[in-house]
Amino acid sequence: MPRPSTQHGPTTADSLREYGRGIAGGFLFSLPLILTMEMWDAGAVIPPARLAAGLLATFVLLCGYNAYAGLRYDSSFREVVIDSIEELGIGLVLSVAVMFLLGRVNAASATAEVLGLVVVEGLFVAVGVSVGTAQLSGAGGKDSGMPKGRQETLSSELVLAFCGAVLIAANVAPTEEILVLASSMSSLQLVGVLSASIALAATLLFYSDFTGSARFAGNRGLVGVIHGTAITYAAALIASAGILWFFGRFHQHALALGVAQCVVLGFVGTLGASAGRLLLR
Amino acid sequence: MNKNRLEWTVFAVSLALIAGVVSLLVYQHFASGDAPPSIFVTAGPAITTGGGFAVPFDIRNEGDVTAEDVRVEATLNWPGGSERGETVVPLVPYRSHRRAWIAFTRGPAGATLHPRVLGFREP
Repeated sequence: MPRPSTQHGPTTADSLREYGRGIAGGFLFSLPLILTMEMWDAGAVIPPARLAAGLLATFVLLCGYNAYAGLRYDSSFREVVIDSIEELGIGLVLSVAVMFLLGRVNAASATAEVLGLVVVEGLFVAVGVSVGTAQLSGAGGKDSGMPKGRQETLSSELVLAFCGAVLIAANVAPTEEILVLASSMSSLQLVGVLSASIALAATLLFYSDFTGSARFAGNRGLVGVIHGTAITYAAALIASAGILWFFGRFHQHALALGVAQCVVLGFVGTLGASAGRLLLR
Repeated sequence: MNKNRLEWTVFAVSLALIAGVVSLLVYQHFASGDAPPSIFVTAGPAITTGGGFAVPFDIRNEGDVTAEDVRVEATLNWPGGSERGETVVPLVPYRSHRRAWIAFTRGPAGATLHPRVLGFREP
């Protein structure tokens, strides 16, 4: 049925451009991970229940991102959910296509293997699609993401910090290096990394207050920076723990080693939660 | 809500795909337990290579846990002699299979081939 000319919806060309941006972003942000061997192994090792949990967590993350930093800031809850489902679907399709194209799976591969690989890769592509759709958009009026006058709330700050942390920390979480570092570093060194992470969060936040906009000026001071730093580092640690759990990095390891891995990955997560957050909003 | 037909199609396909993936994952979760790796080895037809013969082996993991560093040994016995060979497969995912080759100097004609799994580890 032809669209009535009176309706002001996007044209097919508009939609195609937006999907194009999403696909470009999907690859841009996830190719380093798609081309990482640990990711392929993760697809083979992660049990179905955890893959489903990852799918759900990614969907929630996409909803959060679309609600607070997405392309259409005036989106209703229903639109946010629809956009997130689309992004997850595009992510999975791209993941299947790339995995077949690169020969990681073929027609003879077992269902369990294809499913594992496609879901693990697809989740990261989907996050890339979401960020790409919003960030690679043209500078035109309503496409510029969050409007300047929008008030930052605790929940929007938390969601963006969390999204930023996941986006950046996920790039290194599946690698062996995190485990190697965590198991070889002394407690003192770990405390050093922890302090450095907090200092990094505070510094980036402090400067963001000055390079950002004047809307922080009234209600932010030293207390604001401490408050923001705590939120940032907490989001980074929680995001790190979640990603590490997804990749089975706590399996058969002592609690202390699990905490050590969170601290090491938390450094990367902090960078994402503070710098990434500035980038995302 | 202003959405055109293309956007609704993408949404419908995405929704169907996600529903399919989730159902498959849920099915796999309930259809499988936590049985340790269970490796079966089947020999395929030998081919002639530069230095002799090579036999392909289908290495199947019917367990619910992935096996890593799967070592497979095969002994070729014929009247009056035998030859042993082995191979290592880095990863055999749960309920999946891999193919590996073992080379022998002698052809399998008139001989019997006995493959067996030497060992593997859990990830």
